[in-house]
Amino acid sequence: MLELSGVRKSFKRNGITREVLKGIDATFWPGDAVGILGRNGSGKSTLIRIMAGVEHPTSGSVRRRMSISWPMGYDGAVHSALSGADNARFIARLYDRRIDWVESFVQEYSEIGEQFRQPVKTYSAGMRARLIFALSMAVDFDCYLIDEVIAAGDARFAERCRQSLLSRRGRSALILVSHQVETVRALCTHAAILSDGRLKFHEDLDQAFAEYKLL
Amino acid sequence: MSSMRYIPHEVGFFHAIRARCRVIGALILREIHTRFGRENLGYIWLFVEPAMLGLGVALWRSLAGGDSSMPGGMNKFSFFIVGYIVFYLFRTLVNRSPHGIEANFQLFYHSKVTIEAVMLARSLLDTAAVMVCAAVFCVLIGLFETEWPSDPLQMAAGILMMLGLAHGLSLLILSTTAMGSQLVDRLVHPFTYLMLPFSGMFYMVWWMPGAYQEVLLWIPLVHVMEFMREGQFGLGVPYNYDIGYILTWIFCVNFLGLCALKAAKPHLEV
Repeated sequence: MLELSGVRKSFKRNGITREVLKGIDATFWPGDAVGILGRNGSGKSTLIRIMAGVEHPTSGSVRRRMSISWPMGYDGAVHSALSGADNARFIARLYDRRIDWVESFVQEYSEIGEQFRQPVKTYSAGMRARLIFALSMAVDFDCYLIDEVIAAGDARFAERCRQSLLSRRGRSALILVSHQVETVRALCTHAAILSDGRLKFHEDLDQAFAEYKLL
Repeated sequence: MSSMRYIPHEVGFFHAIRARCRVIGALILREIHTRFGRENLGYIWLFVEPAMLGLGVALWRSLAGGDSSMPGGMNKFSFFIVGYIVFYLFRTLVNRSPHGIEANFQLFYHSKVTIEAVMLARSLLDTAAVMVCAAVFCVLIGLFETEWPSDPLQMAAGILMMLGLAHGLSLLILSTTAMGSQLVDRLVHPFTYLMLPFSGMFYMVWWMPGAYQEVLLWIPLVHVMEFMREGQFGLGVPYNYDIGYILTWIFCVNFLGLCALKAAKPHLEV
């Protein structure tokens, strides 16, 4: 279970405080597949980063009673001076998985090949995205957080990501933030709309999409 | 839906402790990797730097003082080299603390990794390195100068106290920097330089006139240094320290540091 209660977040820029999230209450369970729709600048990324624990709410609390992935779609989560293999071993240790198994799984799944032993900073953007996704599959999280489309370089890998996430639906929770209705339709069973710092849930996808178009 | 896993099993206290230890262990191993790397010898400097300074001061003392020994007949080399290594731990932890978050921002993408754990892992690794370094020099000095430490365990305890002080202070500095105080960030380096003469590294308290002694003994670093040196040189000269005073300081800076970090967390920007 992932529970947000009364989560508020404000940022201070040049002396002006702007409240991005104005009290978010939500609970997610394993098996949920929720798409969070929001226009640019509505605070989608901030919300998902708070769920992941990258940032901390200004007030309110986040309780995590299942393992939560890092927010996918960022280059964070891996250290660029370390090799793919070293990153895999660190993540295996951190999440208490078998080290040799994670290493071989990630090497195979990410299709990085020989460069797996080279520092991540030498990787192309596509390879890096494949590494990060493969790492998250190796850990087998209870909840996956995804920021925007999984633009993992080539279309073939993006399709594989989609299949992997779909096959996990029902078992793991999936929380996706996007400004595109199509992405949410492809992966989610429920939708919520983030606007004006508040989150509104919809049981019915089409109803959510209709309301989102009016924003 | 049969494969659905409902996770919320209650997590016991010892289970939680074990999980924390695992995270810190993983962080220490990663820190070793990123610092040593596959091809750089970064930690050689940990040995070279204190050795250079310690040797320099020891040489200057023997040139200036001729053959006259130090008060109490202490060995110059072991006095300055080991003293500097212990101060080095304080300086490293404190100097590095304002940037504890930027330097490790990737780690905070993992919800299991807390700032407290990252800071603790780094402090523990540096302490281990400083202990190894001190041990190496103690053995070298023992072999070449036939001056063996009288109580190595007490020296190790002294280094751990230095860890306690420096760690708590680094949490405080990290928090104030995160709250947006650029001033603290700028003052940290001058502060650690200015602390050098007040750390007890260059002298023993009993060498000083009475009034100065009283002032010096307000500084917890001086107590730690005296305690460590008792383990190094043994009885025979007077040592001035108060374990209760040191432990009170360690408790206070760590407690305040953790509170400050909790308050600073909403303001952190990764």
